[in-house]
Amino acid sequence: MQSLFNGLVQGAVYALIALGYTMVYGILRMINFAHGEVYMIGAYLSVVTLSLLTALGFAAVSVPLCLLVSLAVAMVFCAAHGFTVERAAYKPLRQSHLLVPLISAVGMSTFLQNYVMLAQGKAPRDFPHEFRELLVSRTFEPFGVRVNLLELVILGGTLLMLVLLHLFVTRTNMGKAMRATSQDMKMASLAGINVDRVISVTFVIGSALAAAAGVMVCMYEKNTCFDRGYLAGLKAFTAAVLGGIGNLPGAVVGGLLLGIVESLGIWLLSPDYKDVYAFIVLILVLLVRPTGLLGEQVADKS
Amino acid sequence: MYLSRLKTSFLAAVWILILTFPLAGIGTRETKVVTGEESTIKQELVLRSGPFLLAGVVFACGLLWLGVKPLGRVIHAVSRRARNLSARGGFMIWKRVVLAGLMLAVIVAVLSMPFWGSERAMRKYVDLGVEVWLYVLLALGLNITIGWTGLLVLGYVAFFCIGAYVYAILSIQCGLPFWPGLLVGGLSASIAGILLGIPSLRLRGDYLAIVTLGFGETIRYLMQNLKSVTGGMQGLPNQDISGTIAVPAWISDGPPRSVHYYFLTLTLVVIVVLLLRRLNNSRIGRAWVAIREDEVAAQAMGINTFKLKVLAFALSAFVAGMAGVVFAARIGYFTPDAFKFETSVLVVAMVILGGMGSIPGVIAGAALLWLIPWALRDPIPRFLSTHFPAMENVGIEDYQLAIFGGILVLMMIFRPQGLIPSRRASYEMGLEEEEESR
Amino acid sequence: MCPGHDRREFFFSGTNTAVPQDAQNPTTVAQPARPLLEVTSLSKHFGGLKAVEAVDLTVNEGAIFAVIGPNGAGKTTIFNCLTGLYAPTAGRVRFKGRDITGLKPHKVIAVGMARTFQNIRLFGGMTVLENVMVGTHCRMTGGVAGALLRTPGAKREESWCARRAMRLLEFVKLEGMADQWARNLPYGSQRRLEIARALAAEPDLLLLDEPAAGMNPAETDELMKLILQIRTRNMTILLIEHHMKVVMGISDRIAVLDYGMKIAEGTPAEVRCNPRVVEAYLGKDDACLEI
Repeated sequence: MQSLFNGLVQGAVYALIALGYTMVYGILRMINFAHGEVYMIGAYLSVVTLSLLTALGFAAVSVPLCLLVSLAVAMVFCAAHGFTVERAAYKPLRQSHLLVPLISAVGMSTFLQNYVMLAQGKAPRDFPHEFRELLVSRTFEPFGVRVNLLELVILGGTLLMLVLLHLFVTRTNMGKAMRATSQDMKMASLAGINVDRVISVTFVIGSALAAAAGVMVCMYEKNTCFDRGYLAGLKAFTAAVLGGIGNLPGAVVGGLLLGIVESLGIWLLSPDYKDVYAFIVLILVLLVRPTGLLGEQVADKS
Repeated sequence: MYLSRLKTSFLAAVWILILTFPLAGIGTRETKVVTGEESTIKQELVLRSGPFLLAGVVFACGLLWLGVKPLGRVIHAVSRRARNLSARGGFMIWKRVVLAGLMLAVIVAVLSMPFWGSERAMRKYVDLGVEVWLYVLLALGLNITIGWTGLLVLGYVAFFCIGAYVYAILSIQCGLPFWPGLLVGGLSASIAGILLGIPSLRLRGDYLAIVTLGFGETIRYLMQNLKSVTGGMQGLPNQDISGTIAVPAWISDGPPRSVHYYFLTLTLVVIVVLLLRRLNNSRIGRAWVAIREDEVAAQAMGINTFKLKVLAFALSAFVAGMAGVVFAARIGYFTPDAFKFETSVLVVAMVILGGMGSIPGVIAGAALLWLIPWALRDPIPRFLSTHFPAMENVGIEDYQLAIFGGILVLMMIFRPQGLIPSRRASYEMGLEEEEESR
Repeated sequence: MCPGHDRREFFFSGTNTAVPQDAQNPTTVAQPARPLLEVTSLSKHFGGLKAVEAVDLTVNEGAIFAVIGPNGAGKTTIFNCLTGLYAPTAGRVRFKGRDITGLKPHKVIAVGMARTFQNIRLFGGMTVLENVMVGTHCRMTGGVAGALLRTPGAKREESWCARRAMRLLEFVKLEGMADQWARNLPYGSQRRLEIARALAAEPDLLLLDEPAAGMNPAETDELMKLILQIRTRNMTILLIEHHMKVVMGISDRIAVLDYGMKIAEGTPAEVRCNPRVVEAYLGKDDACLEI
């Protein structure tokens, strides 16, 4: 039970990051390798903001408020990062061969990762203790599972953002434009949709979600480091593929499933191979259903 | 028009300044404050020059761009003139003579390199040369999948790793000699490539990238955790595997060991290049390129795309496996850390920079990406440590990757066909507008 | 992997080739009514969409058989089912008396059915000559070992392939462009190159998917001549076309598709005045299709 619950929490985080991958993939048919880095930058941003706020004396005023501010800063700045990455590294390549933007994305990911390392150092940065304490110290024990407030916040926050995203995609004009663009970019632009703007919005939303995930995980795992984004991004992408890439509910299902599989693997088999389970599951799923669990068969028009 | 460009580059610079400010601009300095008995660590925030520097670079690039555009037009016009001239003949002969002369010079330099200068200097350069040739080998192997068949493999280092470990383990436990080891290492990497390829090559290209990436990580984790076989993070003991290339006495009595490896790797490179060239101009090579260009059409033209992709995987893995064996034999001691994802990215960068699908390009790309950081290993850390005070002990490897990442992005935007484009690939990657306007 | 017995060397029958040829040439032009391709109740559904529904076609040897129909009538879907790009939902495809339903694309071409594409799918980054050489892929056997060691057999096969490709380029009048990039050819030449590439596979049945699309009148005339010329080389042709002049001018039989179903079949004259066809194309009132 306990490990199932831990898996659920971990999975919720994967799901949040996976949404970014899936949204971008749905529209541009490319893997945004830099997405994991944006998630990591989000974590760093919250740490930096919090230490700035502490130094300026705001921490004494209200700890929860500071947390919210740092979350907001992280989301806004990550959205800006996502926007910039798209404009600088992907937009000029939209007409090229499939491999070209993919390689550019790999380059961007490597660049961002090492930029953060140069800027913030190789050692992990701790999430300020006093802020973390606020959430972690309160624990409950329903049904024999130890749960702390932070874990509930992660689950609740993920759920909230999923609902908001769903409403955005289904109810707003922008959401409609996004769905149209993911169906057929050329037709959408002929129908008067500003495709560039849709793509930018996609990157902005995806990055903001990743930033939220980054902040929450940073609290959960006590610290962050420049190389965390790469692995988390990889797993989140795996989750997106598991659920059927390009499919928003699929990303959530895939994320939760992956988190649960991982924690079950740690519990039942061996913690040494923690990071390997995800890939084994990925390969197995792709073998059976190349389009993922919720993915649909797309006819390849010739 | 110039004014608007100026404005754009200024705005871009400001944007970058804001964007990078929180992470690169705000640093912390920890100072120990001793008050009587107890000492507390006090964190102090400091301002750093990083973002300003980056913004400056962006602005300068914007300015440079203003000048580059007209300059580019001039260069283009001149090169078109030259092309027209050369098309008329006459010019062609001179071009050939110059090229042949250059080639000769390079060959002489490469062959005689181990015999220059003093013993100590020589050793340094020979070791460097071995590393360059090893990476050239890797890049040549990866070129089969990325450059020719158009399959993005992001876990290439896994095959290198398998070759190295298989040889090291077998040579320690069973006393496997080097030469058969070379074959065994290559074959085992090849088998791993086939095993990975069979499930994953049915997938779309970008799924393949992620699956191979996962495979690379999985292999590294296995090597870390199968402690009884691989020694885990401690690595394998070294004494038994290094320096055991069996060569005729007249060679082994002559120059020192590192020179053996220099010529060994050089020979491997030459053989691989020759064989790959033959392959490229055969039924198999054409089928690979056809798959890259249009997989559905390739299938419809009778190409068993799946089988040929597996074949590309297997051959590419074989080359990496051989390189791994040489690596293991030369270095003697290694840990799983030698096979990180970064190495895969580095090799991809080499292939891209040189020119996907072009053998001379790939060789040049590998050599440049290994030699340039080596040449800059002193000046740049010095520069960085003055401007990024937090990074006093930054080594070459630290900024190298950030630069590689940048190179990949810039290359994709400005010259996707690479430095020395392949005859075929240049058109695939988007040069066509230029040709059509001719 | 290539069936050697039914190899027919129209374009190149020199005696010094490496590839074995069959001496006997069983079919001649004037020997009609032997079915080469038989399609029975072929259906292809995409989810709820019935792209093709219970279509029967019989193409006789040596014929030029055209499939026409409004856009979205399921013509290209039939081609994709025939050549193995799609697995049909139901129905059988028999080719040369052999059931080839659901065969993989690369096997279908080896059996003797080659195609072109509606939206030209050349290998743009290869030369014109190389494109045709790729077409010969299934008629060659050279493997990795042969290429690496450059065995005499592999060398001979390679030069055979290149010479043959050159012949085919001459046949479609592209010999002067052999070293150009396929991508840089003008549109009409790209169409012809695609045909040459398909011919390189020595098919018994050539499937042409809208070969005249986007061509100007002069190019269209050339194309018609080319198709007739191919037929005289003892090849059967299955054609999808919108261009009525081409369809009516060269085909022996025409099948008309509408909404995935075959609504008529017959000679050009019969089809032209078939009321259902006229309705599908023009609406109710007109009597015959104007050509």
